[in-house]
Amino acid sequence: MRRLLIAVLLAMLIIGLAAPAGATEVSDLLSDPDAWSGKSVEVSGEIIGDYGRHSGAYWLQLNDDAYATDPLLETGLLAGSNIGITLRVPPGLFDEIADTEQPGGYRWRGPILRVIGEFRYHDPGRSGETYIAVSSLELVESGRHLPSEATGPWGTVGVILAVGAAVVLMQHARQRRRERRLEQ
Amino acid sequence: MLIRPQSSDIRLIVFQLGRVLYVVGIAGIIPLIWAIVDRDWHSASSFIFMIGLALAIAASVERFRPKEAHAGWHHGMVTVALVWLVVPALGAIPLALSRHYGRALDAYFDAMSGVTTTGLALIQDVDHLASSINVWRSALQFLGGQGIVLAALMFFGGGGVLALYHGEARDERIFPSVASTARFIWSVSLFHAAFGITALWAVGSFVLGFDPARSLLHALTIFMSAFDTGGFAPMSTSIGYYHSVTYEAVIGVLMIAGALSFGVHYALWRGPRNLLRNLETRTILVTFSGTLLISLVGLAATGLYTDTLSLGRQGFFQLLSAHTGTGFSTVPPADLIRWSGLAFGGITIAMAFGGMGSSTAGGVKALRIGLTVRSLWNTVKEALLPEGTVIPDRYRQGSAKVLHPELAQSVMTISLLYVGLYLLGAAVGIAYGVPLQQALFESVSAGASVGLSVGVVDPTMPILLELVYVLQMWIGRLEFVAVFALVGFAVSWVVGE
Repeated sequence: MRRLLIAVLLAMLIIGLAAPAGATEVSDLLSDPDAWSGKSVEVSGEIIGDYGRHSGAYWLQLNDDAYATDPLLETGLLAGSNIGITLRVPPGLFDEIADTEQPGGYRWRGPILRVIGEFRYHDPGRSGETYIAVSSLELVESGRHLPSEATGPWGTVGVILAVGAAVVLMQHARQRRRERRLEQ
Repeated sequence: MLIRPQSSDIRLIVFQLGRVLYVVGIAGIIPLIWAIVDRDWHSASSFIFMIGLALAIAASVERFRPKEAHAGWHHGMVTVALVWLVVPALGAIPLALSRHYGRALDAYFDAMSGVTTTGLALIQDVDHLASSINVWRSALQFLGGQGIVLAALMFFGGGGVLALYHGEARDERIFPSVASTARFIWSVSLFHAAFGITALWAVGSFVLGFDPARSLLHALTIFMSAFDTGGFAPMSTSIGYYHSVTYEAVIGVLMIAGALSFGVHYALWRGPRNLLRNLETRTILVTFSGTLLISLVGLAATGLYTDTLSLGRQGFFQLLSAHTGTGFSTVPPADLIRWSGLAFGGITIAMAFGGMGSSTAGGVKALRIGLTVRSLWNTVKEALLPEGTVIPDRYRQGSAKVLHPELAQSVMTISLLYVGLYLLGAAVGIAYGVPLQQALFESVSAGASVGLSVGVVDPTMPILLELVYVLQMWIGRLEFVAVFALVGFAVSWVVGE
């Protein structure tokens, strides 16, 4: 019985080391990187910015902040700076998504991915960079357009001000010409 | 007895201020075009409003045009101090209307951080920011780094030119006339723009695999921020976003170019003979090597990086960014805060020292440090050597110069004022419960126009601390003289007769 119990515990330990213990937030990784370094983690969030492709991999920025779940241009509220981490993804895993999805940015909520990979903190192999080396990923939600902001009256007011400025400048120029003529 | 300024003085200052506002209006056209190409009508309308307002104010003060140019030193200084308060207010308009700021003061903070080439930022969700607003943030840094007034001088010339020129913390004239010096400065900048934007775009497109159009946005914004030692980046993770040594190397070259005085650029242009004999060049080489050594030893002691290559790459980039006053980083604030002990000290000292005089960098500046050390050394020698011994007090800066006691005194005064400025922000930070080390780091970063942050600058920071940082950025960029002139002018107006 004791042997069986030990075997079960060992199996659980091995599985526990190999697989992530549920989803992790990027802020947790960054606030205590030593605790997570070298471990398998699962994070999910919005892919934002660009699809970089170099050094034999895709380099993506994954943000799991409030703006990823509730964009500002929809119902989201300001919630501080962005929180994200870089993903290093083998090409085969991401080629299909790269062809069909556009990374997030202005007026575009990028695709939401759930990824599992090893958290590499100050990786000596990349001269001190920090990222997640992704081993598997899943597209949770496709990217989508965000509504455009209402333009408001500012443009019209600006045009009126600029026209007013032009009129005033023309008047001054005419007055200066007249004064010069009088002086002559 | 203080003499109250006359209405003609105020009219002249307001008129000169108006001239500069035309430049803001013209500068706003670039992001406006970007917004129109992007079909981003919201941002476009905010730029039209800013341009219209700048032109309207400038046109409305045309009636103060003096009959003959009689602008004096104090007019120029007061104008410059006011320009650097008013321009951020106008520049903040598109930022505030972008809805990425919690309060209007935050947008003003970022605009001030932009024009003073500091790089501290309170913007939220920058990763979803419109491209045109990103271009404007960097354009503010370019405008501020080049010198807003210098740009106006290029267009308009006018009276009191020399005071306006010196008011923007530029000590040397490369050519006899300020106008030709301004033209040279802009030529150097355009040359570097051609190199920097092309190189960054090429690396982005062909090495990093970015989309060429996006790569252009990165190249343009990063160039403007790097060459003018600003530090705003289009992505929240700053330069860490790119994960590329090549990209960092190009940025490094631009940061160094930005931190060199335009006199050194001229010397390099003509052939760098005797450049290493200059006190300023020698000083910056010594301070850079010294702070780099301190930082690397300290960083190695923390054990954060386990190999030499990582230590060298990350330590060198952060230190270079700090010493040139740029503020780019390849590590997030949460990581930078772990650079404790000597590493932290080395970076803070490098930020406080800053780049060369008459460059786009902030801080005490290399020449002042060199002269202060030389002067102190002479004093020590005077005390130690037999009475009557002649101590040479010459130094080389372009040509052989004499270190007069008046010069030594003025240099030391400015250096001490910088120390006081750094301590002011640190004291207010500590009063709000920020730990000493972080409070000092952030204060030096603001006062020396650097922009590296350990997270104290945050949208939730107290308003008073935010205002103090704004003040530090303004005073630090103008190197005190123009600010003192404005204060003196205001006092004379109130209590003068």
